[in-house]
Amino acid sequence: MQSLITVDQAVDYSMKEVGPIIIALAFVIAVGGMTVAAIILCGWRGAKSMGVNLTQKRVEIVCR
Amino acid sequence: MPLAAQFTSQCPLLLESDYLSLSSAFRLRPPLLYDTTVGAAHHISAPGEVLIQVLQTGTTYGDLLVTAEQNKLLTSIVVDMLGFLNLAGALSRRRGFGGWYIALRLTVVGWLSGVRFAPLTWRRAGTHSTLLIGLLRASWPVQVMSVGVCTLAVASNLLPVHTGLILLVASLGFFLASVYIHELGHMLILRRQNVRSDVLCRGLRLGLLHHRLGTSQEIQSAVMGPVAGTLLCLAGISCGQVLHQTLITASSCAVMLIHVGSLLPWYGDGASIRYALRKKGEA
Repeated sequence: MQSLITVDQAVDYSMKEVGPIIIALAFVIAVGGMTVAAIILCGWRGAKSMGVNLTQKRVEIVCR
Repeated sequence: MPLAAQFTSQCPLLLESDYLSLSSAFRLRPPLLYDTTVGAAHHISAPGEVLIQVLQTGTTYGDLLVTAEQNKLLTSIVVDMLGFLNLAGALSRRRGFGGWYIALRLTVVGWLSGVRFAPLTWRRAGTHSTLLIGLLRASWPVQVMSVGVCTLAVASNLLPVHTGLILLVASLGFFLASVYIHELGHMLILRRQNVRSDVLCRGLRLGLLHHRLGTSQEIQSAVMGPVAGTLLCLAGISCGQVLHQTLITASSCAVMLIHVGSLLPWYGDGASIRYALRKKGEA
């Protein structure tokens, strides 16, 4: 296909900073998933607390 | 970078009523299109010059296609050119309120059919405020999700209202502040070296555009961002230790790892350093 533009070889328009935002998004989605799980398991307004137990590698959800 | 024939996929969703114009960072001096920030000169063929001149004064996408047809240019070639201009942050688009509804509908239909449109690149001269605006634009999914999750947690009685608000503001604010400080670190080093930079935001990506630097300048600029972000996180860790708050300490450590991780050689600032060192070795 004939192109209208011949790009200058010396320039690079690629961008770098996407990692932090993707990681933050993944973290928020994970927390949101845990929140939804707490609601499903304990019922609406039935969850008391939730946390991650790294020693035993599990998520702990406490219902009222 | 080879011929621009592969930039069709970089063209954003355009409606015929969208008003398009060329960014002020670009100047047409036929047959070259100059990117004044990065010091690049892209060669434009004669039919392309006509389209670029029309974009410089501003036109609707529909009128641009008419101009292209009058100059015997295929729509696919025009889309390819617009894709490159979008990639470079040279394309400005204004859309009416009704157009947004049509665009949303087309985007949803596209998603369901496996068609993806490239996001429009946002590019402005680098200042404190444009950097902040760019960061907020790039991180809007994180902001929206955070507010949503916090609202859900408060509504379902998992968190008291005041705790939810404090957690939301503190965590989101700290994360955004660390990325802002990181990018500001890059920008301030460039300013000290009298190098102009533009803030570029495309989808979830955020970066600074500037012309090629010498090896030591490039390394200084690349290192300063992660250093600035890491220092903020160390302050967060210190606060967490003083207040005996494990959550603050752990969160600050996690964010600090992200900043330090950007120095890895195959990603982000680390890749910039590696490239600068390779160029120095070749010279």
